[in-house]
Parts: sequence; C-alpha cells; structure tokens
Amino acid sequence: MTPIPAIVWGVSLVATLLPLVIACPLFVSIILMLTGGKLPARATTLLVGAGMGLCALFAVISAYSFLTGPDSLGALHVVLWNWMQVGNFTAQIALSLDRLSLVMMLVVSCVGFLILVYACAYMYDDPDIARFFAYMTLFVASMLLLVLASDLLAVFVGWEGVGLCSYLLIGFWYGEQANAVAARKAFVVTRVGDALFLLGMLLMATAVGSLDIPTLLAVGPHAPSTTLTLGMFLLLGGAMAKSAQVPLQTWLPDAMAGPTPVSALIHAATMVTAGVYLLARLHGLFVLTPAAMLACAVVGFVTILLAAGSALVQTDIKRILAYSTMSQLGYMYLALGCGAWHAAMFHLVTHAFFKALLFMAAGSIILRVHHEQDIFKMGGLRKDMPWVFTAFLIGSAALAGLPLITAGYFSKELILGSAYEVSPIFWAGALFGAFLTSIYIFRCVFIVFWGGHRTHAHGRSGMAMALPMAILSVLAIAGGWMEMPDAIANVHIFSNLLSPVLGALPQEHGTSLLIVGSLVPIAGVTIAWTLWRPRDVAPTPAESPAIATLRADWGFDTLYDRIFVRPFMVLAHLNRRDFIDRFYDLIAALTQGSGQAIARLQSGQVRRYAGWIAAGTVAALCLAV
Amino acid sequence: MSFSFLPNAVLVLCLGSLVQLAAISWRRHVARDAVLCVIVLLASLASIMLPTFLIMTGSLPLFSSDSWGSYAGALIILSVIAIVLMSRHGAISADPSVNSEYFILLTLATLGGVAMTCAVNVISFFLGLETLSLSLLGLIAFRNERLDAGEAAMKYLLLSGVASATLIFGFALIFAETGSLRFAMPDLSHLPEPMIGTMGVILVLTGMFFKLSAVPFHLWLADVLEGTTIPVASLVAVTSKIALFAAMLRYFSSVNLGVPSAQVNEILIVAVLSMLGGNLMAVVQTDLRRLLAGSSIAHVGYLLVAFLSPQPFGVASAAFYLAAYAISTLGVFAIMNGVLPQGRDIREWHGLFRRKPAAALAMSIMLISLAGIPPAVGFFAKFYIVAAGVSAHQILLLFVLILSSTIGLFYYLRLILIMLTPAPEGYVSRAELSMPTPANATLIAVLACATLVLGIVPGALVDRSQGIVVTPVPIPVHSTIP
Repeated sequence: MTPIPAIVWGVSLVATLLPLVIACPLFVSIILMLTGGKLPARATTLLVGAGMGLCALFAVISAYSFLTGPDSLGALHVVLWNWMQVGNFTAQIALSLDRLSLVMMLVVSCVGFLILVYACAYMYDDPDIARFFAYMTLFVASMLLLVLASDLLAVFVGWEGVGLCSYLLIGFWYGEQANAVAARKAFVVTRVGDALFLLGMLLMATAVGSLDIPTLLAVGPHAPSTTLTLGMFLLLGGAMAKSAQVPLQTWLPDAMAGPTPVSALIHAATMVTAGVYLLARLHGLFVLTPAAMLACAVVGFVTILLAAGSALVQTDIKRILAYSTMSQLGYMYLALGCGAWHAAMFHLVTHAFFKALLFMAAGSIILRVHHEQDIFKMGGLRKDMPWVFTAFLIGSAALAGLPLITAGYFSKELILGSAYEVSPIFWAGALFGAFLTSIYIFRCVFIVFWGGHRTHAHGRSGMAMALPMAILSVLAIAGGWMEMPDAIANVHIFSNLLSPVLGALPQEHGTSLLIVGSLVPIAGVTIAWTLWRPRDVAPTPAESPAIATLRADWGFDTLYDRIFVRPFMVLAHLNRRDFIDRFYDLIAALTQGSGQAIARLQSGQVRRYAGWIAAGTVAALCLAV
Repeated sequence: MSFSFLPNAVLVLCLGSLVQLAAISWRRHVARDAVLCVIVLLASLASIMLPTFLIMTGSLPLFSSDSWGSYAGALIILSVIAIVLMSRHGAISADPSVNSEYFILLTLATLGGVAMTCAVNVISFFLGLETLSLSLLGLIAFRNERLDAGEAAMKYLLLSGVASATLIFGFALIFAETGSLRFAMPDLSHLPEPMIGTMGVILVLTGMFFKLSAVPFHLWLADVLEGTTIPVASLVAVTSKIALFAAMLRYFSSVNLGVPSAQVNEILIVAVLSMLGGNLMAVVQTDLRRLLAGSSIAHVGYLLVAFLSPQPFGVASAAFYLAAYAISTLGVFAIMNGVLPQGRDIREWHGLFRRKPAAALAMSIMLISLAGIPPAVGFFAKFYIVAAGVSAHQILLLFVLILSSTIGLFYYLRLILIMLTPAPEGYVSRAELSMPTPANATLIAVLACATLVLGIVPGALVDRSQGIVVTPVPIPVHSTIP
C-alpha cells in the first residue's frame, strides 16, 4: 500500500476550500434553524442562494486546482481532526478528493445549486420556507460529507444525515396524514438498509481493523473471503435500500409526497445514487466477491424491468418519474454488477442531469395547473407552456435514450455493452427495459402536451425556475458528448477522467449492438405515438385487475403489508399492556426503592455518618485479614 | 544527592496569598481583591508552563514535577478561576466587611490542591490536604448569617477530622513498618509484618475515600452542598476531588493495580458502591444540589474504574474524564448560580426553556455531557473510561458502570424534561429568575462551548491527555532522614 500523503487544513488552496464546500450549506442550515423561521422569505432565499452558490463555486475551484495540481492522478487527503482513537483503531474526520469523489462533489454541489435556485421560486409562497431550506441545505451538507469523507464512519454520518433529511422533507407538509405516512415508510424501509450497512461496516472494521477507505481497499483483500463476501453483501443491502432497488423499493413512489424540488434533488439526482457511488468507491473489494457482484447485477436487472412495467401504467406524473428513477438506478446496479464502474458513474451523472430536469419541468407543470398531478386530467399543454414543454421533451428524449442527440443514449449504450459482455440475457433484458422506458415516458409526453385542453394553465414560470431548467436542458443533451463510443466519435473525456481511480475502460464492442440500441428507443416512441396520439376522445387510463396490480408496484406493497406490517400490528395489539414494559417497571420500582433506602441513610446526624465511616473501614480491614 | 523541586505554582500561590493578605490589611476593597485573586491564579497557571526555577538539592524530596501534576494543577487553577467568576459579592456574605477574606481562602484552597497534586512525601501531601480542607471549612461557613451554613461547616469539620486522623494513623502504621515517608504505596510483600502495612494502606484509603466522597464514606457531601453557597459547593464538588484524585493516582502509581490484593478489592467494591449508590441516591432527590451530590459521587465511581485500569491508558482516560467532569459540573453550578440561585427544588426549573432559552440550552448541554451522550464531551470521557476498562478486562466494573449510567440517564434527562414542560398545576414557584452577571454569563458561554467543541473535536484534549505520565515517586538515595 502506498500511503497517501495527508495534509492538514489550510496548507493549500484545495485543502482550504474542500471543508468549506461542506461548511457553506451547513452554516446556512444552522442559521435557518436558529432563526426559527423569523427571517423573511426574501432573506431566506438570498441566504440559500449565496450559500449554495459559494458551495458550488468552491467545489468548482477546488476541482479545477486539483486536476491541474500535482496530485491529480492520486488522492488528496485533508485531515480535519482526529475523531477518536482507541488502541489501534483510529477514526479521523478527514476528506479525500480523488477523481471519483470529485465527479460526485461537482454533481451534488452544482446540480444541487441549480435545484435550490429553482426551489427558491417554487417554495417562495410557502409559510414554512425557512424550515424547508434548513432541511435542504442540511441535506446538501450531509450528502457532500458522504461523498468526500475518507472514513466509512464519517460516510455513515452523512449517510444517516441524508436519510434523516429525506424523511423530514417527504413529510414536509405534515398537515396531511398521507405525507407523514409516506415519510415514515421511507424512513422505516431505508432503515432496514441502514442496519445492514452498519453491520457491514462493523464487520469490515473487525476484519480489517480500520474504516479508512484507502486502508480498507489496501488491507481488505487479505481478509478471509467469506468475511469479505458477507461484508460486501451487507453493504450492498444498505446501498440497495437507499437506491430503492427490489425488494426494498416500495418507499420511493410514496416519497413523491414531498415538494417537487425534494424529489428532484434527493429522490432523483443525489441521495438515491449514494449507494452506487459507495460501491464504485469500494470497487476494489467488490470485484473480489463475485457472488455479491452477481447479486447486484440481478437486483439491477429485476428492478429495471419491474419498475419500467409499473411506470407504464401510472397516472400520476410524479409517480411515473419515480418508477423511472428506480428503473434507471437499476441500470446503474446492473453496470456495477457487471464491473462496468465507468458506465455506472457515467449514467449516474447523466441521469442526475435529465432526471432533475424532468422533475423540475413536472414541478412547473404541477404549479401551473393548480397542483394537479394526474396526467389524464392534463392535455394540450404544449401551447400553454412551450418552454416547459421543450424542457420536458429534452428530458424525456434523454431518458428514452434517443440516439446521438441525448446524454442518456451514450450512458445507456455503455451499460448495455458491458452487460452483453457478462451475459446476453442481461443485455436483452436491459434493452427491453430501454424499450419500455421510451414507451412510458413518451406516453406521458403525448398525453400531457398533445390533444385537447382538459385543464386550465395559469401564470408563468419565473426566471429562477427557467434558468436552471435551461442549463440542465443543455446538459441533458451535451452531457453525453463527453464520452462516446469509438464507432461514433473517439471521445473519452469522462472515462479518461476516472481511469486513474476505476481502471481503464474495457474494450468496446461492434457497431451491431450500437445499432440495435439506437433503434429500440425510436421503436418505443413510435409505439407510444400510435397508442396515445391525440384523438377525438380524451385518453383514459386502461383498467383491469392485472394493470391495477402493476400500478400498485406488482403487489409488493400488499405483500409487505401482509407479511410484515399486519402481523406486527397484531403483535402490537396483543401486547397492548406491554408485558416487557412490566419488567422494566419492576426495575424502575426497584431503583426508586433502593434510592429511597440510600437516601434514608442521609439522616443528617453526624454520629451516624461517622459510624458509616468506621463501619466501612472495619469492613475493609476484615476483608483484608 | 537527591533533588527536590518546589513547583512554580506552589511558590506563586504562596506569594500571591501573602500579597492578598497585605492588601486586605491595608484597606478592604472587595472588587480589587477579586481581581487580585484572578491575577494570582492566572500567574500560577502561567508558571505551570514554565520550567521549575527553584530546585533544592540535598534535602528531603517533598515535591516532584511531572506532566500529571501539571495537568491536574492546571485543572484545579482553571476551576478556581471559574469559581471566582461565579462568586457574586451579595451571595458570599451579607456582611461586606468579611468579603475580602473569601478570595484569600480561595487562593489558599488552590494552594492546597496544587501542593497535593505534586506531593511525593507524606508530609507535603498532608500539609496540602489540610490547607485545602481548612480553607474549605472557612468557605463553607462563610455565609455566617445562615444556620445551615454553620451546620454544614460543623459536620464537615467533625467528619473531616475523623478522616484526617484515620489517614494519619494509616501513614503512621506504614512508617512504622517501612521507615519511609515516601508518598507511595509500599511494596507489602517485602515488609517484615505485611499485615500492619496492609492495615495502614486501608486506613489511608479510608481517609482518601472520605475526601473523594466515595460510598460508604460519602454521607457528608449532600449536606455540605446543600448548606453552602453555590460557588463553594462547586469548589467542594470539583476542585477538591480533582486534587485528591490526582494525589491518589500518584500514591498507587508504584504498584500494579491489575493484580488482586486487599487494597484493590476494596477500591473495586468502593467503585461499584459509588457508581450504584451515587446514581440511586440522585434518582429520588427533588433538591437539585442533593441530586448533584449523588451525581458527583457516581462520577467518582466512574473515575475509579479508570483508576483500576493499568497505565497509561487508565491515566489518559482519567485525565480526560477529570476535565470533562470539571467543565460540565462547573457549568451546571454556574447556571444555577446565574439564573436560578434559589432554585433548590427541581420543580422551580419548570418551563425554563420558555423563560430563559439560552440558559436552558446551556444547562441541557451540561446535563447531556454528564449523562455521557454525544456530541457533548462527557460521551468521549465515558467512552475512554469504558475503553480503558475493556483493555483491563474489568468486566464487573463495566457492567456496573453501564447499569448505573442508565440509572443516571433518568435523572439528567428528567431535568431537561422539566425545563421543557410547564410547572404542574398548583405549584407556587418561590424562586426568582435572575440575570447572570457579565462574568458569570461569559463563564456559562465558555463552558457550554467547551463542552460541545471538545465533544466534537476531542482530538486536542485526547492528544494532551495521552501524553500524560505519572512518574513514580523517587526512592531517596540516602534514607537516614525519613
């Protein structure tokens, strides 16, 4: 192992700016919490804009000076302080910047900045705007800590922080019970994953004796292979729950109860991809456990198809996007399972662009049609809001992966190619998933924007909403051009950027795969057009028991309700009197009783006190003899 | 040829108290004396950092200078500075003519404490102990218009006399056996009559446990804390315990406490009793000061766990714990003193979050720290003690520590709950909220920040405490003079 030179805060520009990247949103959050909503909305938005702007600026500057600096191929290790030290086990609060965390840092801070600017306009009239932004900025800070921390323990702090913020923001409008229930569901389901993650972390700490990621990567391979496999399975479980992969996916559709910027930031661009990033970070260990990798690929594969199937029949625009997020995350897990780290990270980045864009556009639509989310009650919006339509169309094209012009095409092709390498079944399934994707998203496009008016659109989307959407529209198209297959153009900016960390990009395949991959989305769009093109009668959602099951997430919710929730409720009901608590009541009574007995010794009489001193001494003497 | 060091701090404090005395005999001026006291304390604190400048050769070694002594001495001086900042003229005495002596007594108490931390001879230890005890006695009785102050002082005087006599008798027995006045536990196996030596050590332990207020020698503490003023109560609960614990650690540094023996068994039993007894006592108290007395007894028990774990892990964790305990306990006393001086009954604290949010927040931080919950410094302090105990395989002690900490959680968190909820129906509050003096408010802010910052960034204090070693008490080369 080559030790990474550790530097202390403040010795270089990067080392100075890196902690500030996290500190800026954190301070904004603290200020907003301490003022407790007394700041006017204008001051709040200005504060948030300034804090996040500085955060993004510092991130860009430190990224630039890192890439032009001497360590640009390795990692920069900024030790902030020694958190705890027990025997040989040391946990540091340290940040590490390498090319992988750099990419994530840029995505989180820059896309986060754009979404928060959008949110300033979106949430401006909400009376609780300060609380909203306190959680949002805390989320960004936690996410950046998760991304930059060089110690798994600190990663876990960020991991729990983003989970908490997700919970708080899903239930942001807690006045409605459904929102609170959705928040609780998200929290409980991801908690299952967090427990697995914690167990995996503790297992690795016991096996390796350190949670420092470079040490883990260096020493971990020497650990017993069963331990390693178990540890990676546990970490994978944690990552899956955060990323809403089957079978822990049920929380994500309900999470759409939160405000739309929350869905854009947390449930599309950043938090749900944390698991992908973490597995890419630990790929050196992951690659040693083929069983865990296979499981990862299978999980991704299943999720792609199940989620795409559900998305096909949803009626709520945000739920369509939620299922699509799940399905796209499935692609990333498939890529990870196939060892295509570059492809997973590339898709993570492009997905952050186009999915955030789609959510923002959806949010603009929802805001302007009186908070209507049912696509069958919208229609003909193309003429009412041409710019939002353009943005949504660009996002949809990128999601469907229309060839050459969209970012989604290039990242998806990279995944499909690597999947083919491992197994043609994976390839075929993923291709079918892409086919479904283009059908469901263009179904949404045609129903919402074409046909006759079924709702009244009002108002305009302001500059603060339009500008972030415009920037992301550009990125959703041009973002893909930084990595293209040789058959189209020899551009490998992204994989060259990550190669020092993730290894060289594997050999590419023939053009035949590429051609098939290009034709499938076009076929999907065509089918969507034939099925849902504007007709005289307004479109209605198809109804049948099978479709209802599909719509309700293939019955997972009902299944979990039957096997987990209801038995638990029955048990809780049986235990209304809480017989375990009776035991603790006994202990409490015992404590009180003995406390009273001891207090009675405190009689206030000196002779008794002296008597106790003598008694104690005599007892000690007797013990010694 | 042997060397004896006269620690700088002892020298500075001696001279300082003389200067204070001269100032009073010239003319009384309370504010000036308070400032003078702080200056003397600051000077002694600064002098700890300097190398010793007075070395006597060829004489009986009375003091040594090592990092443990300096660390404990610095803690003592800092805690007394905090206590001076807490003290308000009105609270000290209704009779302004005696207020100035209060500060001399504080300086003298500091002198006694610092002397104890670096004493290597029974004589110098005992002189330090009595200087501290007698100054405490004066301070406890200072508020002469109140009956319970006199009662508390009388109780302390009588019981402290018993304990000192026991201590002296123990030293005498050991001297009779070994012929040495070295302040270190003798190697009992090499004595002609090990029984006498063992008895001597046990009597010494009785005296020390009394001053530390470990169960079952603890009964005086609650009455004294209740009877005296808040600053003096914190002096009893914090400063004198640091001094005694520091000296006790030095006394036993020459033997391996991992090997079972009569003394180790006694310390073990006392640790168990203190942890359980202190917490159980605090659970049922409705008087805040008696509650804090229980808490203080329990913390002595935790410290004894570190004490029983072998060096150097035990020393480092004890050093860290002493600092954490001092900060948080002083913080609680400072808030009591500044915000609700008459808030003896815990029901007086109802609704403090609504009435004084900042003070209630600071109080909650201190209580969380005492309970050992992150992110306050008390968490790491307890964590390190547990780590030291684990490395020493003290399973029984750890079991009791965890059990009694759980009991402790109850009353610390109940106080926070009380501050959050309004007073029950029908309870008529008698205590009035007061505005803390600027000095007191600053003290509260500093202590609250220290509790949080050291809890989040404990590295600085950990590094400091891990460098601490207790140098064994030197054996005199020529032992013609004992």
